[in-house]
Amino acid sequence: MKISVKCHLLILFCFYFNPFIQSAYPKSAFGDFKTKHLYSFKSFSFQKDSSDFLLNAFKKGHSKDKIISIPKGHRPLPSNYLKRKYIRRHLRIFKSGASFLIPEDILGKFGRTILGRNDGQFVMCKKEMDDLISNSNGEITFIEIELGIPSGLWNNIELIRIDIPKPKRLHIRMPSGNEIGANELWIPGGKLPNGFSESVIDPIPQGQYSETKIKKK
Amino acid sequence: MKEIVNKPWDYIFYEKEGNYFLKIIVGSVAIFEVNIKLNASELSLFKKNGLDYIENLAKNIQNSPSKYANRTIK
Repeated sequence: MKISVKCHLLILFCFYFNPFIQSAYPKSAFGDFKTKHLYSFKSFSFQKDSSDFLLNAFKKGHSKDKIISIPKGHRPLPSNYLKRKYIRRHLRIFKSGASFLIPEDILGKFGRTILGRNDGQFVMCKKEMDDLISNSNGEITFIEIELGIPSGLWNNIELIRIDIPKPKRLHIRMPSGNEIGANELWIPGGKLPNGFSESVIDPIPQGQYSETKIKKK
Repeated sequence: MKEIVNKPWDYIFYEKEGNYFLKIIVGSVAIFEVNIKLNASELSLFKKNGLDYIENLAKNIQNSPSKYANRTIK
């Protein structure tokens, strides 16, 4: 019985990771498989090349590099260059909630009545944030590295996790790259360079979010 | 400390003991603050171009925070 299960797994592995077989099937099927299943198998093992996550995302004639080359402020709407199906799938993963991280002193400075910039607040999907926090084991440096924060900037601060259970109410959308929060690391398609999913929502009024202090080691 | 401009969730430009500082909110899903003291060339550009220069400097920092991270003061 055990041998049979092992053989089955081996066949499955060879099937999905054999480049010859992959070329005979639509790439999206494998892109989705990798994104969904590798992600859940290993819980937290992101591929570093974001292009893997953007397989079949772009409409004909568009690419990640073309969009990045357009200066911030002039980038087109994502619906102009991303496939509708891709956008729909992307936004679906935020159904279970959205989250972002912020130092407590910034919250204190600007108040808690409404959070985020007028042109939109970037958020991650709740599941990915859960995995990130769980895998950090309270090591803030781990979170800094994963989210591209300059090293040591979050030392000696209280870090707060903001959760928005119903981001759809706040007009959740694919980032355009024109938002104030979009920096030189931004890539089109709602992905961070290491594969985390990101979206943008309107400023978040009190009552539509919850705060949790990140426990440090 | 005297606040000259305070744009919530964007930046605070302030003066303290004759020095000028810019505190900028940066980041996307992970928000952090870059707080820099204006250097001599930035100060002269501010005196020449006024608050428009500060607005542009804040945008530059928001677009490329890593370039300014080592100048952050706590």
